[in-house]
Amino acid sequence: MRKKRLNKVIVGALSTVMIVTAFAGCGSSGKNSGQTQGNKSDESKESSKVVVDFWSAPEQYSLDFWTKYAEKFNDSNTKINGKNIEVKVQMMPAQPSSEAGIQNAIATGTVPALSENINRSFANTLAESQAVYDLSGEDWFDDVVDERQIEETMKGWAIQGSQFVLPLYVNPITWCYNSKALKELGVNDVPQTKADLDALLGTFKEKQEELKNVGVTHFMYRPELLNSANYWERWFDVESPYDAMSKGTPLVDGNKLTADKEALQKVFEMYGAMGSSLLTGTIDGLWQQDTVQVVMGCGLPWDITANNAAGKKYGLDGDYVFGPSIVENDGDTHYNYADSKGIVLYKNKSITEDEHKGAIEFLKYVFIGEGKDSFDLDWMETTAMLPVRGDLESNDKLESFFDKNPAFKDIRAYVADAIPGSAHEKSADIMTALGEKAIIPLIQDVTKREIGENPDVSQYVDTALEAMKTAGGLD
Amino acid sequence: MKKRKLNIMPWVFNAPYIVYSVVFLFLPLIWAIWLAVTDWNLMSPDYQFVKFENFKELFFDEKVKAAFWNSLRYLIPIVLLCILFGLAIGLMVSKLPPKFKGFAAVMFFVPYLTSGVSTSVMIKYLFSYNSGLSTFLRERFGLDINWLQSKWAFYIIILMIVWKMSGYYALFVLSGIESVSEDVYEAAMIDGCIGLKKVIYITLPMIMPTLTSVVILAAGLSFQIFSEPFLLTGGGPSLSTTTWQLEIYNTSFVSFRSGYGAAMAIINALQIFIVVQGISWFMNKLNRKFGW
Repeated sequence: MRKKRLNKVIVGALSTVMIVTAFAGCGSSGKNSGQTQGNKSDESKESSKVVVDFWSAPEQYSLDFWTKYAEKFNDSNTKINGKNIEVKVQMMPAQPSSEAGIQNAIATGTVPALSENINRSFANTLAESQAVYDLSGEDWFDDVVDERQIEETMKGWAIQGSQFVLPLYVNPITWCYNSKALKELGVNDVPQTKADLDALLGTFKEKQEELKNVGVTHFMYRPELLNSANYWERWFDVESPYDAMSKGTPLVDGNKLTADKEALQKVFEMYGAMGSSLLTGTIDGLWQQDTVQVVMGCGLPWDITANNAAGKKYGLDGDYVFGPSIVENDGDTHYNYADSKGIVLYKNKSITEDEHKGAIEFLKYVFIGEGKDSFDLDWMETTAMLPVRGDLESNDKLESFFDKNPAFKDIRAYVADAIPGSAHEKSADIMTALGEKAIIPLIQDVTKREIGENPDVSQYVDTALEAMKTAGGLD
Repeated sequence: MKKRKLNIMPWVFNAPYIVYSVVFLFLPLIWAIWLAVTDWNLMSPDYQFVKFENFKELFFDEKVKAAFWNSLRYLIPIVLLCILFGLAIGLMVSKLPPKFKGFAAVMFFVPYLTSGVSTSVMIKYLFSYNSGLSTFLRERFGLDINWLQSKWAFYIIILMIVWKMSGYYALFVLSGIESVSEDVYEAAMIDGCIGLKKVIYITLPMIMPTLTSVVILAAGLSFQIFSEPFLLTGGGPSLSTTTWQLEIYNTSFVSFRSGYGAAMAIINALQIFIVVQGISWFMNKLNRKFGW
C-alpha cells in the first residue's frame, strides 16, 4: 500500500516536472525578467527605483546613442514619487519588421514605455488602437515644441487634430544629380522647375550618344519602380514630386481622398516624357558606382554616408549633387516628402503611471533639460540624419557639422518644406493600390516609348484616384 | 466487479509531447480560428466579431488568388527538380569511395545551412542591372534584361530553392540507396541488369518510400516560400512571384489586418492539407505498384 502511494507521488512529481519544464520556455522574457530573477536585496533596490524601458531603432548607432543619453540621465538621479528613475535602452525587435515587433509587444504586454522609429502612418495606426498617449496640450510637450521651434512642422504631424509623435529626424526626399553628366550636358545649375527639367531632358536626348561614351545610358533611375509590394517606394517617387506640384495638398486627409488631380497628372507626365530613358532595373548603391549610368534619381539623404565611404565628392564640381523637388513655376515652395520618424509614449496595462512619468522626465531631460545643448549635434554626428528643428539653418551650435558635410548643408534647406506621409490606417493599402493599378502600368507603357513620346496619362490618373479611393474606403 | 486499473505511466511519458502539442499546435490553432472571425489588429482594445466576412473577402482578393495559383506553379518545378537533382547527387555520392562520401555529402548539404537572406542578397547583386552578368549580356549580346522585374524572377526563385534544397534531399536519397542490399544488385547483375537499367529497375523501386518522403517534403516547402520573394521581388512583377507566406505577412504586419491574415493562413493550411493528401494518395499507389 505504502509502495503504491510512493509510486503515485513519484509519478505525480515527474509529471509536474515535465509539464513545468515544457512551459518554462513560454515564460516572459520581457522587460521585468531581470527583476524577478534577483535576490531579496536586489528586489528591494528595484522597488526603490522606477525602471523605464526605451526601445531604440534597430541600428547599433541608435542603441549606442540612446544608451549614452540614458546613462547621463540616470546619473542625474531624477526622482519620481521619491524613487530614482532608471532608463534602460534596448534595440527594438525588427523581425520581421520593427512595426511588427511593436505590434507583438503591445499584444503580449511587453511594450516599452517609449520608443523612437515611429512614422506618421504607423503612429496613426497606434493612435487608432489607443496604444499611444496624446501629447497635445501637455506642458512639457509644448515646451519641447517651443525649444525646437517646430510649431509649423507639428501641423504636418497632426493626427485628427492631436499630436502623438515627438518628431526626431527628417530625411527630405528630393532629387539627386550626376554632376559629371550635368557637366557633359553643359548644365551649371540643378533644375528647380518643370521647365528646367524638360530642358535637361531635351539636352539629354540630343547628347544621348555622347553621354553613352562616359557611361551615362539613361536619364533617370528609380529603384523597384515595378515592384508592387514595396508600396513605400511610392512615397519617394510619386508623393515627393506630387507634394511639390500640388503645393502641399495631401493625397488623403482624414477619410477623404483630397488628391489634386491636376498635380498628379503633372507627376505622371514628368515620367511619361522620359520614355525608355527611365531606368527601373535593380541597382544597389547607384551613387557609389564607379560609373553612374543616369543623370538623376531620387535624392535619398541616407546615401550620403555610403557615398562618402565610396570616396564620392559632393557638389556640382564633384560626383553628385542634391537638388530641390521640381515645382511648376519659379517662386513656388519646394514641398517634398519627409521620411521622418519620431518618439511615442506607449499606453498599455503593463506600463505603470510611474514608468510613464519617468519616460516624460527622460524626454524633458533630453530635449529641454541638460541634454538639449549637445543632443542635436551628437545626433547628427552619430546617425548622419537631420534632427527635426526649425532653426537648422540658423543654429550656430550645428554649424560645425554642416561645414564638414556640404551635402547635408544643401539638404537642410529642404527640411522646412518637408511633409510627412498621410495618416490613414490603410496608408499601406492606399499606396500599394496607387503603385499596382497606376504607376506600374504607366511605367510599363512609358519605357516602351521614346523620349518625348508622351502617353496619354489621364487614364492612369483616373485609375490611380479610383484605386486609392477603393483601397482606403475613402470618400 | 473488477475495478479497471488506470495505468498512468504512458501518460507521464507522453506528457511532454502532449503539452507541446497543446501549447504550440492546438492553442495557436484555436486562437487563429478565433482571430480569423474578428477584425482585430492585435493592438486595439476594440474589435468586431465579423463572422465569416474575412473568409468571404478572400475569394475576391487578387493577391490571395495569385498566392493560391503561384503555390501550385512553384510546386511542380520545385518537386520535380528537387527529386531530379537530389537523386543525381545521391547516386553520384553513393558511387564515391567510402572515405570521400561523408565529405561530399556535407558539401552538397552546405547550401541548406546557408541563410535565405544571405543567398537572396547575393542573388540580388548577381542579377542587378549593373552586375557583371547583366553588363556582359548587355554589352556583348545586346540583351537588356531586368531579371528581377521580369518573368525571369519566378525562375530565379525556383533556381535558388532547388539549389538550396537538393543537397538536403540528396541525403535522404543517399541513405535509401545505402540501405539497399548488395545481394539485390548482384542478383540483378546476373540477369544482365547493369548501368542505367540497374538504377531504373532496382535502385528507384527499392528507394520508393524515401522518394515519397522527399516528394511530400518538397511539396510542403512550396507553400512556405517567403524570404526569397520578400527580399528579391516583393511578390512582383504583377504578383507573379508572390506566395501565401508573403501575403500573410503583408496583411498581418504591414496592413495590420491580423484577423484577415489569420483567415488567409487557415485557407493556406487547408490548401496544403488537400494537396499533400493528394500527393500522398498518388505516391502510396505508386509504392503499392512496386510492392511497398
